[in-house]
Amino acid sequence: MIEVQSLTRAFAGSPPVLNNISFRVERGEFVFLTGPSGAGKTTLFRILIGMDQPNSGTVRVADQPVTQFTRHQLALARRSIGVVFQDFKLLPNRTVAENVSLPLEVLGKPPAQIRARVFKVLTRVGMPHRQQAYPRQLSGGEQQRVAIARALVHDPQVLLADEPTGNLDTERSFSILELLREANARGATVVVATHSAELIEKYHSRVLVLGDGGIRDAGSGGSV
Amino acid sequence: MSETPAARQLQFAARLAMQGLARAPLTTMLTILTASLSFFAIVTAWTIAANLDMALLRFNEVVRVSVFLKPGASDARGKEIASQAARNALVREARYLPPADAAERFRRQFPDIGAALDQFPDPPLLPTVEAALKPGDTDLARVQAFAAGLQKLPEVDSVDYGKDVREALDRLSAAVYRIGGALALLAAVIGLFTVASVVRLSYARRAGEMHILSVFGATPVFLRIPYFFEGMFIGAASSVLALLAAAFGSSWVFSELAVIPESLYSGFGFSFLSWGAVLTFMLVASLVSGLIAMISVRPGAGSEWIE
Ligand SMILES: Nc1ncnc2c1ncn2[C@@H]1O[C@H](COP(=O)(O)OP(=O)(O)O)[C@@H](O)[C@H]1O
Ligand SMILES: [Mg+2]
Repeated sequence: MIEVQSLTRAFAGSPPVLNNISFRVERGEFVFLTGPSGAGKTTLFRILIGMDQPNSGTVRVADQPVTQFTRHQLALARRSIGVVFQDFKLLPNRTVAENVSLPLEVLGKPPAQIRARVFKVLTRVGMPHRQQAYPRQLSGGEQQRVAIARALVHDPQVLLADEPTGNLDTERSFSILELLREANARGATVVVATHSAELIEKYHSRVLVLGDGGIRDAGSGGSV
Repeated sequence: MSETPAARQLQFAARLAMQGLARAPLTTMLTILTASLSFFAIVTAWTIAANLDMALLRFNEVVRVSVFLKPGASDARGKEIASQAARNALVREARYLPPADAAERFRRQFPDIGAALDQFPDPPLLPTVEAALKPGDTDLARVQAFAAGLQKLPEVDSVDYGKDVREALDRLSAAVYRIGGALALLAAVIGLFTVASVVRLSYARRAGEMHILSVFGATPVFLRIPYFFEGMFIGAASSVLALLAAAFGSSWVFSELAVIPESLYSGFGFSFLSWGAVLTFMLVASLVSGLIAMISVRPGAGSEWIE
């Protein structure tokens, strides 16, 4: 589902952040991507959705060669990917329902279908009663639930979550992780970037470790 | 139509545009006002030019070219000159008036002083060839060439083609086209620049929103469409405002001009732009504003993935 081959990304004036890395994530996997701050987790995600170009190497996501795509093709490819950010990135002047409906509006879905799917996915993340609330009226954990609902509402094949629990306490982190695992159980391939050893230890999933420009497959079980 | 995804995407883009405009109402109104001032300059220049053109056309239609023949010229020669004139591409109709007819016509045209003619023993007026020009052909150089050609004939005494008025109108219209055109161009640049900067600001204000839309698969073209609509709305509103102001302004000016005796301006009907011109202006102003707005935003590849 994700296939990275000989990927190198260097920013001017420093050693490569990603130095000739290769890995695969199979359909239906749940994978942690970890490594110290600055190891290149976000850079890798940006390349996976075509918002950054590597210096060399190829990337396939959901069977699409994103590194060879035009910007238009990339946009279409992103429709089968869902993204969750550490700082939620909800739009402050839109309600919860409006925020969650954005991916469907982009696809040009009919309004009735949008309403139904938004309600369903908000129910899944435990937020059906806050549809008309604005993000500032929600707690951090609630905001991240809404952000996850937004990332899932269009049924993406791949879900990329970049430190989704970075701003949350332990208990809230676990409940967010549960939502991501549930999305995985429903068929999405999920990659979660985190540097929380706690999370990795609790869930016995495959772990990819970034560091010093390389990538290491630490298998499952949280021995980082 | 609203059943296809593309149509619903357009509706979504239109909603984004309206939200963008509504989010900064004061900026939107000031932009419309600024753009309408520059559009007003364009419409005013256009109105003046159109009226001058109309005056020239009307002049051409009303004022005939009179070829006065020398006193001894024969009727046969007069008719020949008339048919020669009629063959010119500028001429709608030309005919020969023997002296008696010329006197008759003079009496008809000027009944009050026409009686004075009776005091002369011989027909006092010269044999004349009168040429009516095609109303659409107002090119001064060609009229001049036509007159000069006739003037060369040995039987011709003089040719009156309304030289002074034609030349004055021609100079005026050239000046209006040159100065008015330059001002209109400047005004258009200012107006469109205003639209472009405001739309770019509007884009910057919602960079986060655009970024999220692009993360969820909005194409670069789609991300420009709301700004096309914003520009179109500003262009349409400003041109309506400018056209209304110009229409009221010019109708006031024309009503004041009505104190000029009609004989002084030969009844050229001053008028505002035609409906066709008004609609064309609105359409072009809206479309160009929309296009300028659309190309002045740069949906980035989403470089700001802030953590
Ligand atoms: N646009 C950029 N320009 C220059 N350096 C960058 C840019 N983006 C990321 N970096 C650098 O790349 C390295 C990896 O960053 P990042 O991918 O954000 O790491 P992580 O997400 O693992 O903390 C950092 O040293 C960062 O400074
Ligand atoms: Mg990061």
